[in-house]
Order: sequence, then C-alpha cells, then structure tokens
Amino acid sequence: MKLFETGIPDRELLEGLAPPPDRAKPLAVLECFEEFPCDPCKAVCPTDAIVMNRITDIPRLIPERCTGCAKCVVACPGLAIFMVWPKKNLVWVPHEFVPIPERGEIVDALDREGNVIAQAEVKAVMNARKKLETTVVCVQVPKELLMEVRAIRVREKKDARD
Amino acid sequence: MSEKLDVQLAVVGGGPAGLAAALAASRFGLEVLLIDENKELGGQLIKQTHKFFGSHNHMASVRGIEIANRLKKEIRENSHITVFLDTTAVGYYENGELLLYRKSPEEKLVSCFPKAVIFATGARENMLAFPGNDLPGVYGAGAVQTLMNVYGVLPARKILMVGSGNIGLIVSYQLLQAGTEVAAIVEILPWIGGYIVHASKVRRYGVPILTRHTIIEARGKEWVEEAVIAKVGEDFNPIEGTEKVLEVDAVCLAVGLSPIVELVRQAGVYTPYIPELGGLVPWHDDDMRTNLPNVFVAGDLAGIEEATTAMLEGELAALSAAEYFGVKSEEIQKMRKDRKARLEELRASRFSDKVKNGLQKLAAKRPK
Amino acid sequence: MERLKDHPVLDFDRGEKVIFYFEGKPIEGYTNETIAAALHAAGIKVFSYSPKKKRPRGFFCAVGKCSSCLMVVDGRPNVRTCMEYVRPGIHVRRQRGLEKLKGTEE
Ligand SMILES: Cc1cc2nc3c(=O)[nH]c(=O)nc-3n(C[C@H](O)[C@H](O)[C@H](O)COP(=O)(O)OP(=O)(O)OC[C@H]3O[C@@H](n4cnc5c(N)ncnc54)[C@H](O)[C@@H]3O)c2cc1C
Ligand code: FES
Repeated sequence: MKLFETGIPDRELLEGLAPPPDRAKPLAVLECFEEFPCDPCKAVCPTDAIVMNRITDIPRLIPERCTGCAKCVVACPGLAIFMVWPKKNLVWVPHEFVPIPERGEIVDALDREGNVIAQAEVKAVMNARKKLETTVVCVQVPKELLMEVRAIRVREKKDARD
Repeated sequence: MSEKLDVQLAVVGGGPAGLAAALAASRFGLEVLLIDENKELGGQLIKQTHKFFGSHNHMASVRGIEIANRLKKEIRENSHITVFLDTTAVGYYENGELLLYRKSPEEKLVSCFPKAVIFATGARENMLAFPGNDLPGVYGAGAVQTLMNVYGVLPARKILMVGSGNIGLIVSYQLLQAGTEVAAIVEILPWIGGYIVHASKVRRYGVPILTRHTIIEARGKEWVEEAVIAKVGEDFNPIEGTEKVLEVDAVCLAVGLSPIVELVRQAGVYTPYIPELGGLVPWHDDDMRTNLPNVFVAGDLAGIEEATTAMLEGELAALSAAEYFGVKSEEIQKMRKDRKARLEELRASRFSDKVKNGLQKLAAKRPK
Repeated sequence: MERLKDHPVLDFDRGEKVIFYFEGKPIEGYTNETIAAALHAAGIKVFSYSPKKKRPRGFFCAVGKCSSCLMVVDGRPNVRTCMEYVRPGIHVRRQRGLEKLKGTEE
C-alpha cells in the first residue's frame, strides 16, 4: 500500500466508492482508510448512513441511506469526505483557503497529487463566510474526472489583494 | 519587590490540561490560582486552526481556537478561579514555595505556598543535529505556528518541513493556508508518522512527502538560503549521491516534543526517562498523582499526547486534588470512572500503542 | 516577510500601530505583537551573534523556551524578544555574545 508512504490513496482503496451513474442524488465519498479515534461524520449524519461500531473504526457508508446533504463533508476534521453526482457531473470538495471563489468562476481542479487536471466551473459555495466552518465548493467537471478531482485552487486574480 | 499570596490550589500552565483542571477543581469548591506565562489562556490550542479529531461528544470537529475560546469563557465566568496571565512560575522549592514572576500589571516577584499544585506546563520542541541548524530560519513547528496563527506574520516564502507526524503535517497545511510554499515534507522513517488524512490533505495541494529522507544541512550566509536533503538507507544514514538542494528560506522542525519537567523536578517529583512519553516525565499514577502527596500533573507534561487526552487528564488531576483536600463526594467517583473510560476509548487505536507502552513502563517505575 | 492580510480561518487583532527602534532605525510594529514577530515582519532575521564563533542567531521556538532570541532592549540584555511585546519607542539591538547586566560592568 503506497498510501502510507505518499499520502495518495491507492486505486484499489477507491474501488466501490463511486456512485452509480444514474443515481438520483449526490453521494458522499468517504476517503478515510485508517483506524484512528474520530467520529463526527457519523454523529452529524441525519439518516444514519455512516456506520461505525467503535470510535476507532473506519467509517462505512450505506449508499441507500445517503441523501447527499453534505453535512459530513463539512464536519470531517480530516477533510477526507467529498460528494459526487454523476448525473450532473458535480463534485463537492472542502476548501479552507483564501480567496473563496464565487459562483460561476472558473477554478483549477486538482487531483489527489495536486496536479491541475481540469478547469472547472463553480456551481455552488457552502459556508462561504463562516470562518469556523469548513467551506465546501461544488464544481462541474468532465464525467471521467468525477473520481479524480479532490481540491480546487482559485487562480491568482490581478486585483486579488487589497 | 516581592509579595506574598495565600493560595489553596495552584494550577501552573493554562493549556487544555490546566484549563480543564482548574474548571473541574472549582466544581468541588476548591479555590484555584491559574498561572500562565502568556498574555492569553489556551496554550497550544490558540494556534490550532484545524478541526480536532476525536469523539463528537468531546468537541471533535471543532477548531482548536474555538475550543480554547469556550474554555476561556467558562474560566472567566467562574468566581473560584483567579487567573494570573503574563506570569511565569520560576521556582518550586522543597519547602513548598512557588515563586512567580509577574510581568504585568507591574513587574514583580510573588511568593506563595499553595497547599497543592497541579502542573500542566506542556512540552518544548526537540532539536535535530545537522550542520547549519543554528542559522536564523531554522524554526520549531510551534514557532512557525505562533508567528502565522497568533501574530499573522508570514513565516517564510518557501519552507522545508522536517517530520511527518501530525504536527509536521498540520503545520504544513497551515503554512499553505497562510500562503507559504512547502517545498517538501521529509520523513526519515519508511512511512508517514501522522494521520493519513492529514497527509492526503497537503499532498492534494502538491506538497511531496518524502519518506526515507532527511535533512543533512541548512546553508546560508546570515540565514537559511537552501536546505540539503538526502535519501537514507536501512541504517537511517544518508546515502551518498542522493543529495538534493532545495531553495528555501526556512526549515521547520517537527521532530517531537519533550515534557517541560524543570519545575516538578525542583520540588522532588521523580522523573524517570521514558522515551515513549517524550523523555523525562514526572512519575504519576492513572489518577495523575505524583510521588508527592500534594503535587499532580496533567497533559503533555505527563507524556506527549493530545489536547483531548490532556483535558481528561486535567480533570482527573483535579479529582485527585479535591480528594487530597478531603472532599468526599460520589460525583468524584462518577467523574473519574467516566473520564477514564473516555481516555481508554481515545487510546484504542494503533496511534496510542506507544503512549500505552510508555504508561506501562512508567507504572513499573513506581517509587517505593 | 509580510503580515497576512486575509486568512481563511483567523482574524487578527494586532492592536495599535507604533514605532520602535531597531539598531537606531525606526520600525513599525503593533502592540499585540512580540518584538520577534515585528522584526520578522520587517524582514529582520538575525537577532544576535553567538558568544564564541559569532554565528548569526534568530528565534527558534517563539514561545520563550529556548533562549535563541535574546536581544538588548532598552539597554537590558538577555531579553527573550519572543515573549516581550512591542511598546512605542523602545530601543532594540542585536546582542553580541553574553552582554553584561546593567550595574555589573566592571
Ligand atoms: C500543530 C499541532 C497540532 C495539534 N493537533 C491536535 C489535534 O488535532 N487534536 C488534539 O487533541 N491535539 C492536538 N495537538 C496536541 C495538543 O495541542 C497538545 O497535546 C495540548 O495542547 C497539550 O496540552 P497541555 O495543556 O498539556 O500543554 P500546552 O497546551 O502546551 O499548555 C501549557 C501552557 O503552560 C504554560 N507554561 C509552561 N511553563 C510555564 C511556567 N513555568 N509558568 C507559567 N506558564 C507556563 C505554557 O506557556 C502553555 O501556555 C496538536 C499540537 C500541535 C503542536
Ligand atoms: S525563540 Fe525560543 S526563547 Fe525566544
């Protein structure tokens, strides 16, 4: 397993996490692969879609119960939960950087290694002005990149400062 | 110049351990003097901009700075707790005298003889030996955090992080948030030391994490201008020919912490060497009692761990202190059971194996 | 270096902007900053020269635990500038080795 040497999840770990293409709602994608004491995702889930028996367990998602509310994306202290909706080609990623992009803005879409793999349009921003919360940005990306895009970077605007 | 003061319970150190200890002690009617050398309470917490892990019913998913704010508010509203900020405990003597150096409101020495003391002085950062490690621009991870998260000053333009434990990973992420480029994170072990989600978080923004690598030199005329890293072999020695020069203006060391034991040692607390807990640590039982009947310890001082465990230990120390003062209440036994169960739960993963090991060794060293 | 203008999580209360002196030259600082932070923000990294080999030294721990940041403040040597706050008009200078305390000079 390369994950523990590089921080980049191995392909085999990601198998089975992608939502089916025709799913009616977005689906949470839990990229949490290690046992350690942490359970806010389970606690915030309104439909008990995330299961853990002990606090140190790896959280498991029951897709049928997930409503795509993104509460777990916001709550995860490890920023390891994303949301994907194949029907509309949308990915939701946590974003704790300034500046926070605006709806309609084009941003760099990054993969799990930090490579820029697409230009993506911002479709929605959650918690944009709540500093103690985690901002979540929803971007539209090419279908084949739904399970690749895991972060965004707002391009330097000339007048970004001041 | 010096002033005398009457104190029942002194709590030295206002980090999560000390804050939790002071609050719990006040619940049992103890009068507490809480001392911290900073201008603000919170210890390490005031630099933690990330959301904490742990149990949702113990402030997980809340940012460290917010945890500090909640505790500080409770302390402020508590009439049993007197707070001395900007005050360093400079000596604790065998006759029970605790000597305080106050910088404000006016500079003076204050002497007191508290009937009991809970020490929660935290930890200091470890150094690493390499040529150039004394150049300006070689910083401890705490320094970098203090600069950017307390004072809002950019620590460097481009930095090399040494160490991939949780601190190295989290501070790297915080550096990115502040706008510093992180050239790489080097880790001498074959695997990443901290939680993998923290590693994935910085990797996602393009920061390479180089395991089996170490820093071998920092170079520069008056300050750091470049850092040399190299791959290491099975024996952890650098492999010749694998050196790489990184153009950075700072090197950040996140290579572990050691408990600050000077004060407890002065008073005669036994401090055996337990590497798993960070080095010299005050001997204590699982109720945070030391070999001295009226001295208790908690938090990183009692073994390097986490803020979550530090708070539970602080409460346990307060319970023991309350008993020392003769408080008898079912509440003490109830709280004790609950806090111990929570500690056990938090220490259930492989990340706590080292600490559990260390605590076992410590228990075996019980002084006669 | 520079002061952060915008931060994703934090807002900074820097206090009042004041002038103090470094090696005789005026420097801008804020009253909620330590001397070390203000000097760093002004791009000053060398705080002292070591006693024997005269090697440049800056701060290391920034929390008062290592003595790497000692400077002479208003004539008083060995001041931990990472714990000492900026005050208007103070004179700060680089320390050269172990300087004598006032009143102990021969
Ligand atoms: C980058 C980083 C990230 C972390 N992330 C997490 C996390 O996600 N979750 C988690 O649970 N933990 C985390 N921790 C660990 C956590 O911050 C520490 O374990 C915790 O702060 C220890 O608490 P403490 O009260 O023992 O010590 P501290 O917080 O260090 O507080 C000790 C206080 O005592 C004061 N003091 C020391 N000596 C004296 C003296 N002589 N006189 C007066 N005052 C004195 C110090 O100035 C300080 O304010 C992190 C730590 C770091 C560095
Ligand atoms: S930098 Fe360590 S004491 Fe000031």
